[in-house]
Amino acid sequence: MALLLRTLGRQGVCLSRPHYRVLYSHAAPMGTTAKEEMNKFWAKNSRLNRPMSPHITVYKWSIPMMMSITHRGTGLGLSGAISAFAMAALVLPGSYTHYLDLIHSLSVGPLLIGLAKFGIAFPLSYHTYNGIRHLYWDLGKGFKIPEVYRTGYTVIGLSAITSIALALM
Amino acid sequence: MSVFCLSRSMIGFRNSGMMVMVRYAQTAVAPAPEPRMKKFQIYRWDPDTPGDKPRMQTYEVDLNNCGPMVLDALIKIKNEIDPTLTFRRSCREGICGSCAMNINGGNTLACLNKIDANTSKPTKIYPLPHMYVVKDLVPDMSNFYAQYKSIEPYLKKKDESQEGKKQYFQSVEDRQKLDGLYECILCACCSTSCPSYWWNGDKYLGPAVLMQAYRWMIDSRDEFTEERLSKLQDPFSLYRCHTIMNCTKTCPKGLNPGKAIAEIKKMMATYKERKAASA
Amino acid sequence: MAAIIRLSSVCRAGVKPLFYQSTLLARPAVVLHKEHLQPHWLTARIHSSQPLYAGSDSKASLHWTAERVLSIALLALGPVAYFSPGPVIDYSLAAALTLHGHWGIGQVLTDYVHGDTKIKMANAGLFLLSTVTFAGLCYFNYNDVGICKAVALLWSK
Repeated sequence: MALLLRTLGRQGVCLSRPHYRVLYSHAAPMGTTAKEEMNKFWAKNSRLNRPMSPHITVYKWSIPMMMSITHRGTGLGLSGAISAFAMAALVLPGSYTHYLDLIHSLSVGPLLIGLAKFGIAFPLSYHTYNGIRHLYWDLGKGFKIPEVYRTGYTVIGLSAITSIALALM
Repeated sequence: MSVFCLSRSMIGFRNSGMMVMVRYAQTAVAPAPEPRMKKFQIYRWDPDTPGDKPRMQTYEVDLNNCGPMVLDALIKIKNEIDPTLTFRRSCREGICGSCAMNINGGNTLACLNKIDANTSKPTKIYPLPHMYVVKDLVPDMSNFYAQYKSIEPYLKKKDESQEGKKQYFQSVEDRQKLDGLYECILCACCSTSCPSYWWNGDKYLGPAVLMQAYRWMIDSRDEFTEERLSKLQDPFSLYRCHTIMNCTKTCPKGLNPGKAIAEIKKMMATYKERKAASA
Repeated sequence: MAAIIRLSSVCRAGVKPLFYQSTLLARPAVVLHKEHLQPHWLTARIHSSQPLYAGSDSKASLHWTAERVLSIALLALGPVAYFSPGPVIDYSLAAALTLHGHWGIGQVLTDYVHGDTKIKMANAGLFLLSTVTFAGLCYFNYNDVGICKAVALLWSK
């Protein structure tokens, strides 16, 4: 459609005839489209080799920012662990209980076992509680900055308590 | 007071010398205060010096002879120490958005940011993060403006033949919905504080532009809400937002783009898909 | 549909090259409706809008909603798995965990991977990983103790 009209225009079609009047009677040309401006931006800045202003090295870290990246980190970690477990199940010859007994026989000691349990429990609880916080945000709630901090501290507190409790179980 | 005046007029004639001394004692300044020298570490880069690399330059300013805001210090530095220091500024009262920059790690307006009087720590000033630098503290804002243009930030009616004939009525409640949205000065502090905008600034619109998109979506006078929502149906324009919330934290006008984006996401999930009307 | 106007072709006179390149898009001009020659068969003004209907079906918003629904389902599976473990929960957990992880890593890749080929490769790799993960978990559920029992056993030590 666009192409058609442009072609018509280029050939100097007389648009002043009545049934064309509707096309231009209330219109004015625009200089550039947004897309054109964006393309020009990228072309110009790469041509001029301008430096990029610093970002992650200068921006001040805050609790919400750290909690956000931790949510991503724990998610990736947990996903990785599950995938590793699944691949191990496919590849390793013995049964699950066999490998559990193997670990038992190492008699690692209660502290290390507790630490290992904490190491599994903390990412899981943090990601779960912060996930609930994300769902709360998705409802449109809790967006004032004091609320962000309040819910943030709640997540951290609950995660610590839950993972310590789980590690002791 | 009146006694004083009387004595003044009496003494005035006979002992003008004495009077001058008394007056001098009254109006003499206190001994000059110790200068409070504050260090400003400022990002510099000159496009006209071939091979120049971005660097930090330190300036010292006596806070006793300087206005309270960072912009006052910048202007003082430019006037008295280094005229080549380049930055944008205009209104000096937090309404134009020109002086947006990264001060001590956070994006604000230099004209509203009070200089930290603790002279043992320098104030670090950088341009807005992850932007192409034109010179010193001046970023290239064209992409940001193009993104704003792309959301069509103006009132759109299906039938515009009646434009100008009558007011487009809006109830008090509907007008209240625009509070907290229309006040945006497009300074870009929020968008340039967003890590998603850093990594995907080409395709992600960023909090400032998205909040304005929302401003038009919920304007009761606008009739293109569904079309405006449809424009965001791709993985990048809206959905690179992961509620990191740097935007609301840094807004120098106290607005909440994070919340506006959450509201857009809700509308996106619930609006009835309708063929975008045209012609 | 965008109405493309070429002012230069307002007939007769020579074409003004000025408008040739830039008049790709028009926007409604503010018109003083003094003389009014509205053709009677069309009273509406053309509203031009940018022809960017790249994603006008609800794919992106549906994906967003699905992600939230799955998250809530996964949250619900937790306590259910604790109180009534069994094969149904095991397989549901396998599916929900894998899919939640798949979509989550998908978002991470979209954020950080740029360049058409790299994106294709990364997504292919992710698909492979998720398939193997689901297969492995199902295999574990079928041939071994199952997820619920596995967690219980792990924690009892």
